[in-house]
Amino acid sequence: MIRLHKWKLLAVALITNITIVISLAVGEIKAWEHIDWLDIVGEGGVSLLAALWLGFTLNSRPNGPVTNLLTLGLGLIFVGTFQDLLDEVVAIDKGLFLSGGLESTLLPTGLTVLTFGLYHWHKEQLLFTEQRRKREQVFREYRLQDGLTGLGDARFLRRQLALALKHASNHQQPLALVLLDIDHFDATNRRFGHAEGDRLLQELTEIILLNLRRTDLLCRYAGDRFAVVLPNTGELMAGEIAAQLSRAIEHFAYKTAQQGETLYQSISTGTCTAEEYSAEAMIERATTRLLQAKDSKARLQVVAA
Amino acid sequence: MANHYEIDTACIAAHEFPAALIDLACSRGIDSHKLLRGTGIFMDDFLTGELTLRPTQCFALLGNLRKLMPAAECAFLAGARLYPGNFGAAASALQSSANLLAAIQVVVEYQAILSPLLSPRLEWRCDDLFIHWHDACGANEHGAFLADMMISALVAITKHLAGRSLPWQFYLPGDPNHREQYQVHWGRHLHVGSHQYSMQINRAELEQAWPGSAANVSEIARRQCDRRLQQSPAAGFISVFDAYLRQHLAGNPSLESAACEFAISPATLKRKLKKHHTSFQRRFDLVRKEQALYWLTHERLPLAEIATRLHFHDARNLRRAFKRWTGIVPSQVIASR
Repeated sequence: MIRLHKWKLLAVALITNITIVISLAVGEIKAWEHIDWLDIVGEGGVSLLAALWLGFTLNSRPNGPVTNLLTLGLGLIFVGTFQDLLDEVVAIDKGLFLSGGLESTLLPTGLTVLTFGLYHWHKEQLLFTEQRRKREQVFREYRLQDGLTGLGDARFLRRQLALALKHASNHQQPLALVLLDIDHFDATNRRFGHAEGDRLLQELTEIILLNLRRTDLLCRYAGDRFAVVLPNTGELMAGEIAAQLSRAIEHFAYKTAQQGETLYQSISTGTCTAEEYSAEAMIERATTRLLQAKDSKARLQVVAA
Repeated sequence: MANHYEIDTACIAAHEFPAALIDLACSRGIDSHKLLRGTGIFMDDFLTGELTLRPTQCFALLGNLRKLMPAAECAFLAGARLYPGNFGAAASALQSSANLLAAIQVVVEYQAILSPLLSPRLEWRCDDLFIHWHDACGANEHGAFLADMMISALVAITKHLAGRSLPWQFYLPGDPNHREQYQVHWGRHLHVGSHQYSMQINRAELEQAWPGSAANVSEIARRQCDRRLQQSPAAGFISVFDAYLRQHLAGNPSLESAACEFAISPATLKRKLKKHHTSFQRRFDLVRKEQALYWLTHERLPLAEIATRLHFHDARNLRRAFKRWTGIVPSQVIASR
């Protein structure tokens, strides 16, 4: 991402250079004995941290007005603290604007601009949080996220399911878990390649998300197995949602990237409602039902053949 | 005894086993420069299809891949796409197998081609066939990853060739962090805390005819593989060494007797083992641990008898050694069988 921002970084570097040149032009380099090393370490550290923040921020953001504001704010803070550091090495006449005035205007301006930028970042983030609601509900931990689909992984599921169970028992509400698994996914992988399988998983994620309620949570359990946590949902409703997901996926006409061939998928589901179970026991029970559903489907196929 | 490859023998065709790892990384958008950094492999050479790698290079590649793709599913994905891959005659032999037993025999016989870093060992117990996966040439910290990968590979290809899921049972040494990956990719029959990587299948499954069976293709492909393995080493040094220890366990082998068998000096043998990140004592302990576990759980021998067979002074000494090898005492194993 940082390559997008090379002009911004160059501008900051240029301004920093100009301050060095001006300071050297109007001031004298201090003698060794006049340098306070503690100040150098302290102010150098602040300046370094400001540069680091700038780097992290730019590296994680696309171009746009919010990014510009953040860059400007952090850039001003960096130049201000850097000027402060220069002060320790170069003796500048106290009367000049460069010595005290510049520093005391740069830092507050930078902080104000940064605050403004952070406010807009917050607005932007609220928007994204709403979009990601069915993927993470109210908890985010990037280390528990699956890189392919952007969903939470099995550890995230266990954690959220345990929380949901607690909440359900406190409020006397039902809770349901649906595990779903794509039928013959490895055959698709073999026939069309693993890259196609990866893309299929990504698109199925979107389809499933579209068919869920705002309070539901979708996780990727492992491989082609997904898990949906359904708060305040009884067995009948959970069965209905599982059936809806199953119908939605059956009607999804996936197109391969290479030839644009249409692939239809079917899924098997296993549903489990919370009675007195732990999160692990719920997953276990849903897995058993899922595998039973798969087995009976396989038997049906043999009979049909 | 000279027909083995070591950790620094250039013997692994880059377009065969390593290609599965490189392909996986590339399909997930990982920069090939980062993937190949420090491995001494160049993408252009790799693409010629004539490059042979040393196991050390494969381990470096594995290290990079695991760093760049830390997701738990990495080993399972790599395994699932390994076969048929670009293994030439060995893949043909695998795909034209008449049944599961024939396919397993192909993997075992042509291990140097199909699974150069980890070697499978077959063992019959009553009506079941066990496949144990062992280090072939100093896998060290990549052993667990490779075991997950190779078992996934065998599960995936046999499922594909049989046209249905096979009732495998799996044994893992410890309790894995990502149980869900094993459940989804392998199946439900997972036994943890078994002190080794093994898979088990019933004899009845082995002989069921497979739809892709082709006797002549299989015969020709096997001969091609045999010819290839006549010109290049057919087994890894560590697996050859372990096999020697296993075979001579009754004679209480030592570093000296092993060196004599391999026609090298004890100092050279020591150096060789060190090169593979191991030592005589570690290999010896490992083999004795396996054997003791087998005698305890399957033959149900009394501890005193096992102590005598393994040349321990008495059962107490064996118990202490066993605790050192496995972290538990024999009575716990007896209780859990």
